[in-house]
Amino acid sequence: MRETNSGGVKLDRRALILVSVIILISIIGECFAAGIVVSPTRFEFTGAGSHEGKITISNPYRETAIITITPKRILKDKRNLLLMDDGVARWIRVQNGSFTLRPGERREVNFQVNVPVNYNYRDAVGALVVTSTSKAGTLNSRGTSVTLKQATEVIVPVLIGLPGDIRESLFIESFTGPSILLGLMPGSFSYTVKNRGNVYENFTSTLQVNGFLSDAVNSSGGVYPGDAYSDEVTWTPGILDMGIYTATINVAYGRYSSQKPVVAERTLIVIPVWLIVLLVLIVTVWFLRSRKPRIPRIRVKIER
Amino acid sequence: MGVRSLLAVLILSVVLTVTSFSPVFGAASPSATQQLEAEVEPTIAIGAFWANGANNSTIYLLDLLADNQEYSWDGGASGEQVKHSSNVAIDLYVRAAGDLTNGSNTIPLSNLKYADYGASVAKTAFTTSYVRVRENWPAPSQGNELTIPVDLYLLVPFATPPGNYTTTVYHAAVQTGGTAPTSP
Repeated sequence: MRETNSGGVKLDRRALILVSVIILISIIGECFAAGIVVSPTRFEFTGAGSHEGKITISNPYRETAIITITPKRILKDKRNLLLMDDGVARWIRVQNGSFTLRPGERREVNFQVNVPVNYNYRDAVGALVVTSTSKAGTLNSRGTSVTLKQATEVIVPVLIGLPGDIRESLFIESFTGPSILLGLMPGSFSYTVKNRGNVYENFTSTLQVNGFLSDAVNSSGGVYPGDAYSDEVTWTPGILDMGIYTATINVAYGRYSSQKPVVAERTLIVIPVWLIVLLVLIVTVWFLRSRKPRIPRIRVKIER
Repeated sequence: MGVRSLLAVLILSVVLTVTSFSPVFGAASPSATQQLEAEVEPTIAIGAFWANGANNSTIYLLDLLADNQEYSWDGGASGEQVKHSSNVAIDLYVRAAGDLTNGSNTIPLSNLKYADYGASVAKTAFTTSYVRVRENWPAPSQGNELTIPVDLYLLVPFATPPGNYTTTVYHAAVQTGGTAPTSP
């Protein structure tokens, strides 16, 4: 027979409270901590030559983190931050930049920066982008569902100069098309857009044709920095279109901030097909009439 | 006699050994002081959480209708949060990897939007390049962390084929003013 007394019951209750407090503290402790931890938060090197540095990544959590460290070049403006793979990104070498970090583990990662003798001081901020992800679970679901995996990144600037600006600049290199168009017959207008900026640009183009009547044809495209993009737009005059028309190509762009559209223009003449048919009819009728047999004149002279 | 001698030697050895380890028994030594310096580096610590789950916890949005109506999930303990316990002020940026895809079909990334971030950020579509959502987010007090809610919105267009659509959401932190040189 089990003996129970008030002292024993009190002890059990105290033990239960203690265990509950311990569990509660451990739960709070887990929710309290942040994600990836990286130090230091920036590097600054002066001048050309070889430089070395070291960053430390820590995982204070209970999940294993998958870490990658990637060198990049920073372009930024007030709102946007771009991470590019060229320029100063190619000066940075990271040793062993991909690994897993177990809970409670820290790791130091070394890197070198080789700055060339001639470099653009106004576009010389690189970065070590430290990315932390964890394994996503599997999902068994019918119907439509969405899985958003999450990753956190710490961007550690590596300064050798100033950060580059985001420069957006497109211009129309050429705009060609027919000078005379017949009604109901399609005409092709070709244009080439050149990207003089330092970022990839998406654009929408509108061919606006104005004259006796107006019409518009839309198109779109994308062009890398330093590249040219050629496009062809087709417009077919309607049955009522006629006369002198203006064809304007309007290219709108501006991925990071609004930009003034670039425009080019040319003039063409539209000859309606019914006019041609009418002219042909007139000519035909005139021709046929001109071929009628002549009735010879008969002169009658009466002599006394 | 032999055993007694052996015992005496043993006891003497033990006493000598103990005194050599115990300064209390040894002769008094002059006190010594040592300077200790601990240098704490600037440190960035951030994490993104869904429903108070694990760090970088995956966001599962289940049983969605392809009805062209926008779904919304308020940020907070039951939704998305970003936490920061750095010891420097940071700027926070957000982006996504690209369109939501199930391998053969896509939902445009422009249909996935965010808002709030504890700074009344207006509803904005995700892009594939980083956009700043918090500027000069100050460091919390020692031993603490700061948490901000992130509202999420998604519109599933009509006739979207059934399936699980996936993309990755990235949150990035950089030290405020970290890209500016300290010397001209």
